[in-house]
Amino acid sequence: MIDAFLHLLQPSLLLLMCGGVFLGIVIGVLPGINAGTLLVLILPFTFTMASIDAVVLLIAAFVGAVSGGLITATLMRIPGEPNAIMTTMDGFPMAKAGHPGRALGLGNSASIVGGALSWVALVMLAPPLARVAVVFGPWEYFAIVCLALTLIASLSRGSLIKGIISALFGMLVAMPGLDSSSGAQRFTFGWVEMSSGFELLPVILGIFAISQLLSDTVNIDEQAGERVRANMRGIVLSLRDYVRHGFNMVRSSLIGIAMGILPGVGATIASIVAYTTARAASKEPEKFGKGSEEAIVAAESANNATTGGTLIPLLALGIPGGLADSVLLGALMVHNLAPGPMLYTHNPEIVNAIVAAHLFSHVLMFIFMTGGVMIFAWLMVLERAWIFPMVFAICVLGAFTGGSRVFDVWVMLGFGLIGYAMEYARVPIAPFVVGMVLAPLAEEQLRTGLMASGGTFWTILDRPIALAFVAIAITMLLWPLFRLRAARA
Amino acid sequence: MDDTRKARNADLAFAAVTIAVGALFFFEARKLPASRFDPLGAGSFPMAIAGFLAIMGVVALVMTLAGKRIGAAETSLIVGVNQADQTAPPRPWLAVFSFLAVAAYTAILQILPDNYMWATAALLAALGIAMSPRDSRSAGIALAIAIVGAAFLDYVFGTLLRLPMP
Repeated sequence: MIDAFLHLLQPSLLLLMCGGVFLGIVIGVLPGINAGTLLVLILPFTFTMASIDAVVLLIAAFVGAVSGGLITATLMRIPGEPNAIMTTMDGFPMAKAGHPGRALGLGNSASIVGGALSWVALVMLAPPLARVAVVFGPWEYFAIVCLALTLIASLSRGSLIKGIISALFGMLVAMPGLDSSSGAQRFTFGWVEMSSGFELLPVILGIFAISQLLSDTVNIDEQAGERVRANMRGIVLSLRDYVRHGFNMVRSSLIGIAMGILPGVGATIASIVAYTTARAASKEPEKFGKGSEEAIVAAESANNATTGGTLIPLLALGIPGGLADSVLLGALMVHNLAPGPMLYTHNPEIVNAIVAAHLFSHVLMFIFMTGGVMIFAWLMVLERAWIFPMVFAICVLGAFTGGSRVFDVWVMLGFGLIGYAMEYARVPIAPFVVGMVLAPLAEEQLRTGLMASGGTFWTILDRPIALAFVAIAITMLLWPLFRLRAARA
Repeated sequence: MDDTRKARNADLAFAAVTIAVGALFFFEARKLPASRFDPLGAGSFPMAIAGFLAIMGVVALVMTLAGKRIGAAETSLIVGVNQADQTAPPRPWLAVFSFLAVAAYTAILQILPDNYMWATAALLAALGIAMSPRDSRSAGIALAIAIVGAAFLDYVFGTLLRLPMP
C-alpha cells in the first residue's frame, strides 16, 4: 500500500489526480451534470491510458464530483449534486446570515473526515471480504447477484415493483448478441450490428447522460434565486470545532459507509438518514433548517463516506451498488480488468492504486476546496447554454469511440429517450444499469452451476452461503407484504 | 385532467409496456435452440427474465386497475424532472430540437464521414444559439464556443488521444 502511495506521487499520476479532482469539483459546482455522468463522459478519454492511470483519474473525478455540490448548495441553495440536497437546507441559511466561509469550511472538513473514515473501512473490510469470496462457487455468485439485484430494487425507495421491473429490463438489455456458450444469435432481429449486442458505454451514456441533458434542456431557463458571495472567513476549522463536531462526524460517516455498501442506496439517501439522525440526537433540533452547524456536518460527512463504502462490494465482489460504481465497473472492464476477488490476486497493483487514489483524492479535494473556493464560486456564472452543446458532442464521441460504430451512437440516442421516459414515469434508473451489468455474470454462473450439478437446482441446498443469500433476497422481496399484514393486524 | 388520474394513466401505460416487452422477449427466447451439453441453453435464462418481467407487469396492471398506486421512485437521478418549485416555464420543444439536431448530426457523420470538425461546429452552433437568449452577443459567444469547441474535440480525441473519429 505504501508503494501505491509513493507510485501516485509520480508527476504524471499526481497531475491526473489533480485534474480529476478539479474536474469533479467543477462538475459538482455546475447544476445538472452529476458524478455518474461525469465518469461516463471521462471514460472515452481513458481508452488509450494505462489501466492504473485510468482508474486513478476516474476515482479522483468521482471524489471531486461528490464533494463539489457543497459549493452551489451553500451559496445558491441549488444542490450541484443530488446528494448535496440536505446541505442546501442549512448551508444556504448560514451563508445568507453572513457566514458563507464558515458553512463551506464545516462542509469541507466534514467531507474529508467522511472520506478518510470510509477509506479506513475500505482498507479494513474489502480484503477480508475478497478472501472469503475467493472460495465462492458459481451458486454463491449467482445467489449474491440475485441478492444485489433484489436489494437495489427494494431499496430504491418509492416503488418496489418499479425497481424490480427496472432491474429486469436492464437484464434483458444485456441479453442480445452472440451466446458465448452455444453460439446462437439472441434477439438480433436480423440486424448484423446486433450480433455483438449492446455495448455498455452507449447504453449508459444514453440512459443516464442524454436523458439528463434532455431534462435539463427542458428546464434551461431555470434561474438561481438569491446568490451569496463567497468569502474565506472561517473556512479553516479550529481543533475545537473538530472536537465539538467529532462525534457527529464519526456517526454520520458510519451511516454513509453502511449506506454506501448497500446496493441502490447511495449518497443522497445516506445524507438524508444522517441528517435526520443528527436532528433526532441534537440538543438544538429547532436550529435544523435554519443554518445548523450539526446539519451541515452530518450531511457532508455521510455523502462523502459513501465513496469508500460503495467501493467495498465493487472491489471485493465485483458487485456495483449504484450508477457511479456501475460506470467504474464498466471502466475496469473496458481496461480488461475483472473486479471481484480475483482482482486482489491477479492485479493487486490496481486495487492498491484505487485504494490509495481514494484517500489521496480526498486530501486533494480538501486542499482545492479550501484554497480555491473563490475560483469554483466564480464558475457558477457559466451559462448552461455554453456547456450543454459540448456535453452532447462529447456523448456522441464517447458512444462512437468504444466500438468505432455509428450504430452505437444511435443506440445511445434510443436509450436516451428510454431513460427520459423512465425518469418521467419515476422508474428508478439505478436498478436498470446494475441489472445490465450483472445479468451476464448471473447467467454465466447459473450455467456453470447447472452444468456441474447435471442440470439440477437442488445442489443449492448443499451450499449454505448461497442458500442464505437467496433467503435474504426472498425476504427482501416479500418484506412489503409482511409489513402490510402487520399494519392490517 | 387531475394529477391522480394522470398518474393512474401513466401507471397503466407503464404496466402495458412492461407486459408487451416481457411477452415479446419471452416468445423470441422460446425460438432459440436448446443445447445438448448446457442444461440452460441460450433461451432459458432470458425466458425466465422476460417471463418474470411480464408477470410483474400484470401485477402492476392489476394493482392499478384495483385503484392502488404502484408508487414512484422517491429520488430522481435527473435533476429537474418533476421539480416542484419551478421558476421559469419549461421548454420541451428546445429538448425536442436538441435531440433531433443530435440525430441529424449522427446521420451526417454516418453518410459523410471525415467531416467531423465542420459537422460538430455546426451542431454546437445550432444548439448554442437555440439555448442562448435571443441577442447578438449571446449568438456571438455561441458561435465562438462552437468553433473553438469543435477544434478542441477534434484535436484532443483525434490527434492527442488518437481515437477513431466518426
